[in-house]
Amino acid sequence: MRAFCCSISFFLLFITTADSVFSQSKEEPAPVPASIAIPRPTPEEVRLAERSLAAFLENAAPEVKELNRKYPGLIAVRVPPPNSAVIPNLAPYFQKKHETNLEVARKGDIDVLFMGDSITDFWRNTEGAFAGKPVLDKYFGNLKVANFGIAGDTTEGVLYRLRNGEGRGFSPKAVMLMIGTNNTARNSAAEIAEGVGAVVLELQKCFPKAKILLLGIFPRSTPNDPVRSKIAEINSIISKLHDGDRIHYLDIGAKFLDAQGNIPREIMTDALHPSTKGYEIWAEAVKEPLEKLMR
Amino acid sequence: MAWGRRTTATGISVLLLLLHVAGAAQADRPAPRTDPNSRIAHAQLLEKAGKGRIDVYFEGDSITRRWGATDYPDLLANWNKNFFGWNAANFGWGADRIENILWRLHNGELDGVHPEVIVLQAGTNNIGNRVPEGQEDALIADITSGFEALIRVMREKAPGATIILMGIFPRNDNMAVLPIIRRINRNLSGMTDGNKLRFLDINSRLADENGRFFAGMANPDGLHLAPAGYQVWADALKPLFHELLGPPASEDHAPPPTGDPSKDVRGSRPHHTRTPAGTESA
Repeated sequence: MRAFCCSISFFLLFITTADSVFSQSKEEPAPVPASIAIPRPTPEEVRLAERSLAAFLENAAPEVKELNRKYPGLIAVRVPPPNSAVIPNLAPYFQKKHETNLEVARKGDIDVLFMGDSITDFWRNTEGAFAGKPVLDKYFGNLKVANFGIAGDTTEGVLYRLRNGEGRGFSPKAVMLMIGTNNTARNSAAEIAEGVGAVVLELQKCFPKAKILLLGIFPRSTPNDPVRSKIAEINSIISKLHDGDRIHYLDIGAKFLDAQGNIPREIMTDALHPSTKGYEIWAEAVKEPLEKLMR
Repeated sequence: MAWGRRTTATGISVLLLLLHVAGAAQADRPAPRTDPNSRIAHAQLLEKAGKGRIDVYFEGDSITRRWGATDYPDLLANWNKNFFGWNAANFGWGADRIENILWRLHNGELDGVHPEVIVLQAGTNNIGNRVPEGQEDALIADITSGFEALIRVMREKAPGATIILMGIFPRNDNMAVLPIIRRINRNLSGMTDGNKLRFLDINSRLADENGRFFAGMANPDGLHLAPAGYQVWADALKPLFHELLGPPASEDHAPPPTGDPSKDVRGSRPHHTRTPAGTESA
């Protein structure tokens, strides 16, 4: 009976610890370049605001006190919430592709790193609507390119991946980065720009000798879709990161649009992912800039 | 140590109970619906699978089912308006969880059909409108695993098909489950290979940044789509259908639409399926 109770308690212990292993770990927000940081009050500034508010309410007219009692939170200090786009976090499903990237990183011998989401990921596709491989071979076949793009990824996912092995073990001469489009449903333009900035800082930390080609996020969907102007806003903020030295910002988005601002179907069949023809446009636009960065 | 028979029996039952509790949620294990109406519906769908020509196979729960159902004539009209000429057939069934859809796929509903395109909408009934605290991570892992199982069986039965995987739609019956929906959709977004498996998330066109449906997109129940919501869904699918199938033809050869068997019998009351918590299912 004693052995039985022992195994049961061990089993219960396993269940409880297994549960915490599966939980998301709480990470700190990554640092963001000052030129594009969202203004945030320090804890002391927040406390000052809260004390002033408390004093105001204490000395307020009776009807104001009644208002505060009736609607708690109506008169309040509003602190900007934490920005999820800068808190390193990789969704569990993406671990497998992350591990594949780790193997590539370990082998080293990489001239150029492509980093991003599905639009970057599909440079490796040989078939289907978004086959970028033939274009990759044609334009960059002479370079040792590593593609760490993962479909569906976000700024916080790239941050996590760089900090957890994808930013270690090799020294690329150049990094081509495009990330942020998958954050658009969740974060504001200013938040996504912070996310991109945090990734740029992380890349500089991981690869101090590399030059970074930072691409503006490509347009998507239709001209009247609010996501278009959101992307334009993100790009106008992150363009400030260009320093002409280690960080080179380039926006080639206009090349994917027709005169009316629509994305022709043969360039992006779903108005989001480039087709082979779309990849040609991309390769044409960045081939020379990348080669210059690598000299 | 010698155990009495009663002690052993108690010990084994306790262990089995604990194991059952630990392994309760299993979205990746096929499980049939057992109510008689669902059994009849399955038979109807088996028959449907063998009829006509099916190029687009819609799969899901009641959110999918209603769109092409005879008992929702306004939604069926929208379906026909959008998809006529592409030979689209609807295999959704109401209140199905992922494991129920999995069972139907493993039990003949996709045999010999060989569609060009499969549209898959599922998952919301595995979330429900209430998730006990502390169980979110396990639930998200279970549902993700369920989707992987669905994709596996679809590849097995229809290896040539392009699967369009829909992100789980928002729910406004309890805003607290929205972060869980987002986290699952994040996992699903990573399943795309840009070729035979596409991920489509239309939630930013259905709802605002807080997940609240725009006016007219959903029914008052905050769960099922309304005609405007279905149109948003159709608008997202049609460019993909053009890409994968070409323009719609002037004729349509898909099998005729089916409905809810319990409503087909004159005088019978509609069958509302309720989960143990008494919440509406999709």
